[in-house]
Amino acid sequence: MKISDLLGTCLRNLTRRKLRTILTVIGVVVGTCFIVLPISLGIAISVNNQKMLEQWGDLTLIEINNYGNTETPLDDAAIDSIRAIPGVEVVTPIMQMQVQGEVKMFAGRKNRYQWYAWNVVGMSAEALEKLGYTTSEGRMLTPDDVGSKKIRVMFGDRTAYDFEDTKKRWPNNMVDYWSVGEGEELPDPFFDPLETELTYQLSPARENGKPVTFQLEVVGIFKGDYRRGYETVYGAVMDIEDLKRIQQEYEKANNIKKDKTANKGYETAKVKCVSMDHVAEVEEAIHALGFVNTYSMEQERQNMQESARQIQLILGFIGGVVMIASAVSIMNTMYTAVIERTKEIGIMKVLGCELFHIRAIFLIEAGLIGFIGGVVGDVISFVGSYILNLVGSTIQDGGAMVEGYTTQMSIIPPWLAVTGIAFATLVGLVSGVYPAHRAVQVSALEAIRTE
Amino acid sequence: MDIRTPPREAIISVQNLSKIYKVGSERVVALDNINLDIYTGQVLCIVGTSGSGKSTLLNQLAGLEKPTHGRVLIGGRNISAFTEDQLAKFRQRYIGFVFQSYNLMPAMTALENVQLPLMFRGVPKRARIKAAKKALKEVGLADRMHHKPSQMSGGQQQRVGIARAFVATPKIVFADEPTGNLDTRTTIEVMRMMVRLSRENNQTLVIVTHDQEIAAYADRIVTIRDGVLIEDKPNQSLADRPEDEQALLEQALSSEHKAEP
Ligand SMILES: Nc1ncnc2c1ncn2[C@@H]1O[C@H](COP(=O)(O)OP(=O)(O)OP(=O)(O)O)[C@@H](O)[C@H]1O
Ligand SMILES: [Mg+2]
Repeated sequence: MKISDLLGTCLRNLTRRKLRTILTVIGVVVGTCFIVLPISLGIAISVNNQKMLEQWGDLTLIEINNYGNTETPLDDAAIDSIRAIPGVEVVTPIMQMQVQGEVKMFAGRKNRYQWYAWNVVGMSAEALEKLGYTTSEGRMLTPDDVGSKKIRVMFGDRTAYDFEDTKKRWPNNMVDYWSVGEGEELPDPFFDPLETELTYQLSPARENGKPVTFQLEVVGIFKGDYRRGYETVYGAVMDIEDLKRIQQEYEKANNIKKDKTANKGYETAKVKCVSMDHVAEVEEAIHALGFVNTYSMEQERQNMQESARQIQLILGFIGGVVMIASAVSIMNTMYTAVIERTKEIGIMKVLGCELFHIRAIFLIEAGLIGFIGGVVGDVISFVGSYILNLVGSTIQDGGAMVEGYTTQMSIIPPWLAVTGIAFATLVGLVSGVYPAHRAVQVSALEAIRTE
Repeated sequence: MDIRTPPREAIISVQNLSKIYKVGSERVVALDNINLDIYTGQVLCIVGTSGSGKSTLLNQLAGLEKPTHGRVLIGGRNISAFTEDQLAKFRQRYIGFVFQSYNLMPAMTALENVQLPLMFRGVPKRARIKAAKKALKEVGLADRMHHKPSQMSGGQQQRVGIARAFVATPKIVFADEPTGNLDTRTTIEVMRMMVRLSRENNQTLVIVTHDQEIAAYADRIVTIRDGVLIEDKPNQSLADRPEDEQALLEQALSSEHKAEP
């Protein structure tokens, strides 16, 4: 028999017993829905968890805190060996300017505008983009900017507003940008940082010391993002080499002797992994290098994933039970069909139908019931998923929502739809094995027997 | 001594064939040491009273059942030793079957029923529809091709059955009481048709019947009693004697007429 003839025969048999076929298919449809929908809920839960974690911070980021570790310094050599760990995309030490006296930045004629520059951070320029820093104006600091005479820096998007006008009195000495309503345009700061030359002044701690000054040039302004760091809002970032140079000149000018026993390394570093899946391994490797004090979202993520998985498992189990029920129903239907068609099977055998084809006919019929049930079950699951999301979103609209962030209650990715159909078909086929076996055993003599 | 002079190569050779059924503790000897050679092109009738073992013998010949002792050779091959699968392929290629109760597939049209043996052989649709149409025309059912069995008379159904048995031009056609459910007139039609078709392609036809009038269509008549072959005699087929057949038909018609008061 040709495949097309086999299929044709099966379809004919199924349509011949329409009602029974439909009832059996309904069983599979319910089973498929009970598997696909719960899994879709589970997927939605883990996707939502992920989104939530992403709002808290970068899921691929590991922060190393080496403060107080006297055994293993987090120095440039250590940074290099971290960089060599597979799965690490980029690593940068983080350094704050350490000055005993006041640190200020000035702008404008006669240094009219001034800012207490307490948040100047040094990190490697090449890491900025990879760490997810973005600019709102100007351009990103690059390794090419390192070592220029005028030191090049990035500003946070509110840093310029933090400058005060020394010629005016409170409250007119600051640009009021905080009382601006939502959607309204921000007023301009006193000066455009991208166009203005700045002076960076580090005052000595002691009375008789000399202040050190540097000229600064702002190459770009970050898009403010608290998750990346406070410096992207109120602060300034320069390359770590420039920062170290400033620090050294300051120490030389003020005759500050370095404490030889102090830890020579950096206090903190940020490590960005290639993907979320590498975080656990990389973090472990960093621990192995002697830096045990690390922080990432991985643990939270895993905990959340685990609970999502458990919910999915319980719901999927219910689906499995329903599927067993529909498997039994398919088996019953097919077994009844074998008994009903005993004479037909006998006739087919006498007319020369091969055993293989008789088996195939019953298997395919059972498989088709599963397949059709799977397809219809998928369609109904999609409709159900849509309704759930609709209901879910109206409930959420009532409450407070994070802007631009709608949570879905049910997500059916393509692989789930395909798995649903494949599983239903498999259940059908497996249920058909025994009935098909019985069909093969029917004797050709059944054709001759008269009732 | 045969009327027709067939080649001496037996297409079917039955050797020491016995079939014993066990029913509870009882043994029913349905066939008792049968020996029989059937030659290509012969129309053979197996006759005997009810329960004598005719059907049992036919089922053995067609390989539907295994013998208790002895063997059946077809074309020199011992089909008694075949597996179910080999038998299926063997029947597919060499054997046609006409049933007493027609045994058409109830959900299929005449045309689809006739296609079945060709479909099992894997013949492409176009070719087998053509062959099935031709076969239906030969049995005079050109206008009933798309009728289902329930929409046809018994005689028409049996003609579909004959078309189905002959459509794949098998070497041998078996028929168990093919006219058992038909009236005399239709019986004559059906018998003529089968004999004519088998003659056309030099096919061997083995018919089981308890009716002497039907046996008259055979070239050779074998009689069985209590599972034992008691007589084997040649015969001049009624199909080759049109005048006698006409007389028979008239007699049948007049008796039918009388029965109708
Ligand atoms: N499956 C079986 N089990 C037990 N006994 C059987 C079986 N088949 C046939 N027999 C017995 O074998 C004997 C021959 O039966 P068979 O059907 O061959 O007779 P028959 O000549 O075809 O009769 P009829 O003309 O009534 O069809 C009978 O006594 C019958 O009871
Ligand atoms: Mg019989």
